[in-house]
Amino acid sequence: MGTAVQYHFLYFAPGIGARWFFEGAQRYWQTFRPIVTYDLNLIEYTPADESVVVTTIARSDTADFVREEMQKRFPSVRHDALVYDYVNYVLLTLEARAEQNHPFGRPLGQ
Amino acid sequence: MNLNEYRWSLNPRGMHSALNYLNIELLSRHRFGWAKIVALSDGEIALAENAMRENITPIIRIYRERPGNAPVDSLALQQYQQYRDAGVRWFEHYNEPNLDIEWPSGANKNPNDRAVVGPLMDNWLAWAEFIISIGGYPAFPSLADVNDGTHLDTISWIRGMLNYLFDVHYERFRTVLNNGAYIAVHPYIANHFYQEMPNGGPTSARPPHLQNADEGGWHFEYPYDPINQADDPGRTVYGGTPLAPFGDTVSLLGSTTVIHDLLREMFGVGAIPFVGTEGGIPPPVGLEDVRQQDNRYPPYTWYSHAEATAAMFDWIATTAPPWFFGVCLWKFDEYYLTASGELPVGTRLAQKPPMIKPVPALPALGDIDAVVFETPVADPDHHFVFLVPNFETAWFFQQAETYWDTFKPSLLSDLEFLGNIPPEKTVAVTAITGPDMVDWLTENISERWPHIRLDVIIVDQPQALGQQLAQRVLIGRRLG
Repeated sequence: MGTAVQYHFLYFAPGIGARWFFEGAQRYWQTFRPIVTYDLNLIEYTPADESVVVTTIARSDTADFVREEMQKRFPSVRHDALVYDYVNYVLLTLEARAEQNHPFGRPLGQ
Repeated sequence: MNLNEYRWSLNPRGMHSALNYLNIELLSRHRFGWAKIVALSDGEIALAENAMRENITPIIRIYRERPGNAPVDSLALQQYQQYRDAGVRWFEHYNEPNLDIEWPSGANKNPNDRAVVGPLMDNWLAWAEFIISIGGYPAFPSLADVNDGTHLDTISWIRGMLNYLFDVHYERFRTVLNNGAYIAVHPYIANHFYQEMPNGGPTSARPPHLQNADEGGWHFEYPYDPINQADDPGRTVYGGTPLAPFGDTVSLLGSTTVIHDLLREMFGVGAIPFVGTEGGIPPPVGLEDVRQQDNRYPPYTWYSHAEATAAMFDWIATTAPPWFFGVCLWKFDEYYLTASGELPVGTRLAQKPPMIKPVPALPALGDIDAVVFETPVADPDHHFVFLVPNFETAWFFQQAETYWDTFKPSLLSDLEFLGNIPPEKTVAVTAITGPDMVDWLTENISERWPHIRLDVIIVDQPQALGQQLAQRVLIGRRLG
């Protein structure tokens, strides 16, 4: 699987309400226990030599903003971007990840 | 001595005996945490032991008729020792010396006369030192709330007693305060409380039939609540307005506020316990009895009294100052043995788990301003929510959505991340825990990172978590 991830963040983009977390990500969080946040500044506190993954959840109207922020501010951080306009799709995706024990989605070829 | 070193149930719900009678089994079923027992002699030792077995903290007062300012007699001292030997810690003796009934007929009762308060304080201090010497906690005399400028006047009595102690027994009194004393108060609050209408704003008040102790929006901070401040701006517990020339202490925290202010100012007190050894919302006497002592506030009924009393106890746990430990409702027969039967409040309390009072390690003497009175004018740079190990995470997902949506904290699973944050950043951690992990939190957060503000929510039921978070949302305060 490669280098073990030291820090895993679950970031909700601006405009995403709490329902997306409480209804869409409960099992995912209980399985993988990422740091859940609306604040990308927290990523600045991760040591440069540690492996960091940020799973972002954004709607289509803020997806570009999130992608640009991640590229500009944290180019060496692995960006696991999820873009959905409905909380039900978030739920389906994150439930599947929890079920299959793949916090960042099943890698290609597996 | 620190505030959290006092030993008690941590449950602010209390009941006063009917003379020397209490049904402990009933109090246990209705989830009380205090039992104030007026003892005629040593005959209530078994009652006190029974209470302690049920994790109900007894407070013992040996009854004396019209004691005035006389010294505590030797028989009473022997009996206090017997109760202490049985495990009781909390004691009270002088009761409402501002009332005529507590003095021999014809006695001088002028609180401004040192010939009156001097012997009272001399004798109280001697008794308090005795109680401390046997390992107990002595109560500073309670007063009835009267704001009329006469010889009964509460604030006059408070000032008279404390001024005498300041002038004559300064160090002795500070020693007593620092070694287990507490302050007895009698907060009979009339109808000085209300619950906001949903989305109605801070001066909206639900009628009695809509009041619900499981919902937020309750106000017990009279006279500082929005309704009173809108009606009489600037009124304080000291009065300060033409409508309240002699003060206004008829409320849950009225006398507590005055006494605590003066203790801080005069004796350098930080935090010592205040316990309502009588008080509460005076119960209706029957199904048709509707009480409205102050027509600026809604009345209460036989049924709404239960909601308000339950809410009052929750408010004490979540919102009252950390040194306010609870109230013993006056009194058992008026709640349980009425002509109309048992008041609904007992059943309501049985349904509703008590909220445990979080008690921080504040010193009895010393500066607590930075800890308690800091006004968080700005949110911290980073606010985390942390669920202690083995906490039932489903409760969080059931109860915290609105709080989360309002304040958008970050959810932390591993405390080690806190060590990455530069110390110049302000950080607060709202830790949600059961009662058994508070020490763990202190060791793993406060002791490791003293600059981090630890905000603890202690719950043993999911509904309790929901209520505490809902209250914070309602008052717009992310931290407790």
